[in-house]
Formats: sequence, structure tokens, C-alpha cells
Amino acid sequence: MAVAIADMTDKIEQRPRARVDLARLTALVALLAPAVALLGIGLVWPFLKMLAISFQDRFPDPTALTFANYATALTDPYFLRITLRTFSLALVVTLITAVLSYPVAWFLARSNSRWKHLVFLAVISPLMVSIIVRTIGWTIILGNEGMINALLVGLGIVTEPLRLMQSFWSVVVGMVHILIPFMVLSIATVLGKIDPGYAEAAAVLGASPVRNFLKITLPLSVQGIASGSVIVFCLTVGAYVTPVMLGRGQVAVLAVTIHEQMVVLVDWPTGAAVATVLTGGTLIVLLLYGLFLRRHSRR
Amino acid sequence: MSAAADAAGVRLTGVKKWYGQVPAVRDVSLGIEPGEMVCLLGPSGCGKTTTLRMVAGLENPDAGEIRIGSTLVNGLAPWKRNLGMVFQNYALFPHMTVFENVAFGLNMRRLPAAEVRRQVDAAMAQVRLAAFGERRPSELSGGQRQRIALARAIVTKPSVLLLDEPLAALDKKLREQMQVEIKQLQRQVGVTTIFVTHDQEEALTLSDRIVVMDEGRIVQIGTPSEVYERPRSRFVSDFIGFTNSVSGRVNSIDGAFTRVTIASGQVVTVPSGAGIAAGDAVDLVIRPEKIVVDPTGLVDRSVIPGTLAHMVYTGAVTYYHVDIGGGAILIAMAPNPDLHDLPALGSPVALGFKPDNMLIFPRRAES
Ligand SMILES: Nc1ncnc2c1ncn2[C@@H]1O[C@H](COP(=O)(O)OP(=O)(O)O)[C@@H](O)[C@H]1O
Ligand SMILES: [Mg+2]
Repeated sequence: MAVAIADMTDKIEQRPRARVDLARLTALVALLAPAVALLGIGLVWPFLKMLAISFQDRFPDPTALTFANYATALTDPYFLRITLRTFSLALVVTLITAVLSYPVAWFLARSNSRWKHLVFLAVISPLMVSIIVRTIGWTIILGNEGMINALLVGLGIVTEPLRLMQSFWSVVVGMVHILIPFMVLSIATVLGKIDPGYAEAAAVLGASPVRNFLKITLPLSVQGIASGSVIVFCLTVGAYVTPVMLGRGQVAVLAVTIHEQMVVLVDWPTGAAVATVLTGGTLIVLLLYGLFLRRHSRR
Repeated sequence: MSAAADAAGVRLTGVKKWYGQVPAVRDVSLGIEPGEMVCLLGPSGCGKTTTLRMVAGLENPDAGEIRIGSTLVNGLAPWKRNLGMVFQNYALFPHMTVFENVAFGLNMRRLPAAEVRRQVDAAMAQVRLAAFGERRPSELSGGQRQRIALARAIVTKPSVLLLDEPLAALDKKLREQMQVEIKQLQRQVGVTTIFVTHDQEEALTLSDRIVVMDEGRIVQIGTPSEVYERPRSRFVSDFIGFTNSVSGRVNSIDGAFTRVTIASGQVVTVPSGAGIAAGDAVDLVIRPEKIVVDPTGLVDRSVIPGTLAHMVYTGAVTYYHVDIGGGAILIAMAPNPDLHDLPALGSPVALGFKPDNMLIFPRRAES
């Protein structure tokens, strides 16, 4: 992931590499050490540990190393279906979030309206409320006795409450809601830095507003969409709470399955293999995305 | 100056623009002939950019009319105006190559690809950057960016070319070189051009006519020599070129001539100025190069004696700061044609000038 982001954000201009003297190097190491230590203990070590477990025939007390766990994770129809669903969910959520966020980001970055601060607050307010509370909020709206069903039944549009929860799309709605602030802020930051002079120059050169947007503003804001998408995709692929609560057990995703596999079924090796597939799959998607963006922003 | 077939005139009538409570442009009326190159000149904040942006359609005037050719363009979107514009920071699209930048306007006009290539190549050759098409704007020097911005603006054969301080970001030497190039290109293409600058030298060098602006108004329109030689106000004379001023009081007015007593007590006769009556406090203004040091043997000169207080030798010319008494200093500029001995400081010098070159303006409130 780090590789992909670096690829996307590197600039066209390349400076000669500066020579680093010893004092600066020491300072740099000192500054980076806490973060590196935290990452090492909290991420790298557990990850390596899990990688090791994924090749063991049993855990604890392995007797042999094996690829069998991966064979299961990658070929068992049950796991395959869940993997596919997880990545589709992340893709759909990322797409919808990007489309919904762009106009809001535009408004935040470009408008001089006095409502701007209110909209900004509205955008980031979900970040101030716990994810559980927000998800419960959606169950109040979407549940069988929830607001939408009460309205539909009350108006006589349907006789039985619709099953709005427990579906792929209810999870999508919940995830989009939770992740929109990240996308809006990523895009708005980049949009705000684009010199309005580019769009003006294009207009004088004969570009209508639509073509102006497609040829100038959109390509110049790709960086924002890219970083927002990476955040949203990664957070969705690994989401646990929202799929459980809004899917009500009917929308299995990898994070939930890994948890079940390890904690409920106490099958650590298979759980570890599935987890590695999740991480590997995410890395591959981000890498492809990075390559795609690079090709399209360099041309 | 040969106007291109499609060069259009521009006419502004009673144009006004406010930004909130700030009047940026107050009542500007101006006619520009097809093929003409006109400079908007004035201090920073006087409304030049705003005027230009209204012609471009990037701002809408709050009052008045703007016509390009015979078309009333008030409210007409910029992309429908067929203009070329060079912005102060060039606004070259950073995500496109130089070629794509120059081709942008032609692509917006949906020209066939072969035609686009032909015209872009021609425009890039015209600004002598034919080999730079595949570079990014960030890989060009300041002067090269400037020329690409110019190529991008003219390649669409605009009816009017608008330039907003296009040379301000360049160093002096490059600026002078680009002045010549812009002028040649403008002549070649024959496009009506409005050029904004706060640099008087640039305005004098480039324009067919100069429009001097102050605080959102036009204070004088004229050819470079008219504006330089016959400034209509103290503001214009100070803004364009270097001036001397000596304060005095009007002694008597005799038709075309006014007699003024200056600080040293001497009486100077100058051509009468509008709106000046006997007894008025006035400033007499003259340019250093109109004053001759030691006018012996020259006729038709008024002579003021003084002592040499200071000298500035700049190579081609020397500036003589002469104390003429009563606390007044006049500066005379003289070329250094031969190797000669400069007069010693403190020695007496006589200054001569033609009365015609001395301008008279009401005394300014401050200083
Ligand atoms: N977008 C704007 N918002 C508010 N005031 C502005 C804006 N643009 C220009 N002004 C004001 O209008 C006046 C004229 O500005 P401008 O046309 O840019 O002057 P110039 O180009 O001659 O330096 C100035 O007082 C400036 O502060
Ligand atoms: Mg300006």
C-alpha cells in the first residue's frame, strides 16, 4: 500500500537526491524511531507471526508445514464467495463514495457561500460519533420496525415491512455514510490547491464548462480521488462492525469470517491463510490501481 | 501595422465594476481599433486586470457595454468569445505536454488532428520552440513558458489578444528581449491586442496607444510620445518617466504664457496650463533630459543658475543634481558622448530649457 501511494503522489519534477550528513541522519532516525517501533510491534511482528501460522498444519503445536490452508482459502467455494463479496463491496463503496463526495468537495473548495462552514461540519460530523452509534442509527432507519418501513406501511405503499437490512446494499449504505468524510476531505484538499487560473485559461481557449471539467479540473484532482479511494477501499475491505450490524449475519465478509474461523471454530491456520489472502488481495488491487493512475496521468 | 482580416475592434462604454463595496473599475470608456496594440498602464490596484477580465468575459461588468467587433458581449460566456489570453503566471496546464497545451484551443474547436498538428507546429515555430512539444511546462524556463503561453493564445487566431502583465515574472534582460518578440509577433499576426502593465517603459516600448489608469478611471489616452511629452496631469507625468518638480506661485497670466515665481525668487515663464489662475500655488514639472547643462550658445532657452550639488554617473549618461536656491534641486540628464572632464561639485552651473518643455500643474496637497 505504501508503495502504491508513493507512486501516486510522486511529482513529475525530479530533484537530484540530496546528500544526507550524519547529524541529519541521526535526527531523522530519532524522529522516526517511535513510529517505526510502534509499526514493528503492532503490525509487522503480528503479521509475520500470522504468516507463519498460515503455513502450519495446526496451531498451536504444529507438526508440519503445508500449503493446504491456502488451498482451502483459495478454492473452497464458501471462502471464494466471501472473498468475492468483500472485494465487490469495497469496490462498490469506493465508487459510490467518490461520486457522492466530488460535488461536496467542490462546494467546500470553491464556494464562498456562508453555508460552507455548516456543510464542512456536516461532512466531518460522522467522524465525531462512534462507528457503533452511527451503525445503530442506520438500523433505526432501515430496520423492520424502522423509519422507512413505518413510513411505507403507514402510507399503505407496502403491507409487509421490506427487508431493508441484512442485504449487501444496506451494508453499502452504511459504509458509504461512514467513509464519505475521508473521500470529501481528500478531494477537497486537492481541489482547493488547484489554481482557478487553469479553468479560466481553458474557458478563454473555448472550453465549455463540461469540457473544462473533464479536461482540466478532473485530471488535476485525480490525486485527491486516488488518495481518498485508497483510504475508503482499505477501510471497507477490512470492515467488521458495519457488515455485522447492518448485514445481521447475512452479509459475510472476510473480516467476519477470519474472526469466526479463528475464535469460534478455533481453526487458526485456515483463518491466518484467509487473512493473508485478504492482505495480499488488497495489495494487488492497490498496485493495479496505482499503475492505472500512473498510465493515465502521465499521458 | 497591418490588421489581420479577422482582427476586431473593442469598445468599452461606461463600464463599471464593484467587488462588494470596492469599486474596482469606475466608468471606463475606450475604443480600440482593429489590429491596434493598446496598453493599460497604471499603478497596482487601479483596475487594469479587472478591465481585461471583463473583456475576456471572466468578470461581468455591473454597468456599461463591451463590444468586440460589432457584437455586444455583455453576459456572453468566455468560451464563446474567440479570444486569446496570456495570464500573469501563464496558467499552462501542468498535466499536459507543451504540444497539448498549445493544441488545447484548436481541440476545443474540434479541428481534425492533422490540422491541429500543422497549426500547433507553426505556432511553436513562430515562438522558436519547435522542438519542445513533448516537454512538460515544468521542464521549461520562465521565458520559454512565456512563449508557449503566447503560442497557445495566438494559435486559435483570436479576434483579440489579452495580455495581463505577461513579462512581470521575468528578469530584466529577458523582459526586454520578450518585449521585442511580443511586438514583432503582434505585428506579424496583426491581432488587436490589449496589454496590461504597471511598467511604464514596457508601455512606451510596446504600445500604439497607452491608456493610463488611476483608481479605476482612465486619466489619459494617447500615443507613447503624447503621454510622455504632454502628460495631462501631475499623476501621469510622475507615473511615466522620471520628473523634476519645482514649486512656485503664479505671478501673472498673459494669454498663452504664465509667469511663475519659484522658490529661489526667480521668475520663470512657461506655457499656460488649464484651470490655473493668478496667485495659485503650482508645481513646475520638467524631465531631466529636457534640461541642458551650460546652455551657452543655444537660443530660445530659459536659463536658471545654480551650483552643482551631486552627480550620478551611469555610463551612457550623467545626472547632474543642481541646487537652484530656495531649497529646490533640478536634475539634468546629459549624455556622455566623449571622454570629458565632469564639472567639480560646488561649481556654478547654468541650466537651460525650452519654456515649452516646462509643464505647469496645480500644487499637490501632500509633500
Ligand atoms: N476578486 C476580487 N475580490 C475583491 N476585490 C478585488 C478582486 N479583484 C480585484 N479586486 C480589487 O479591485 C481593485 C482593482 O484590482 P485589479 O483590477 O486587480 O488591479 P490591477 O490589475 O490594476 O492591479 C483593487 O482594489 C483590488 O483590490
Ligand atoms: Mg493586475
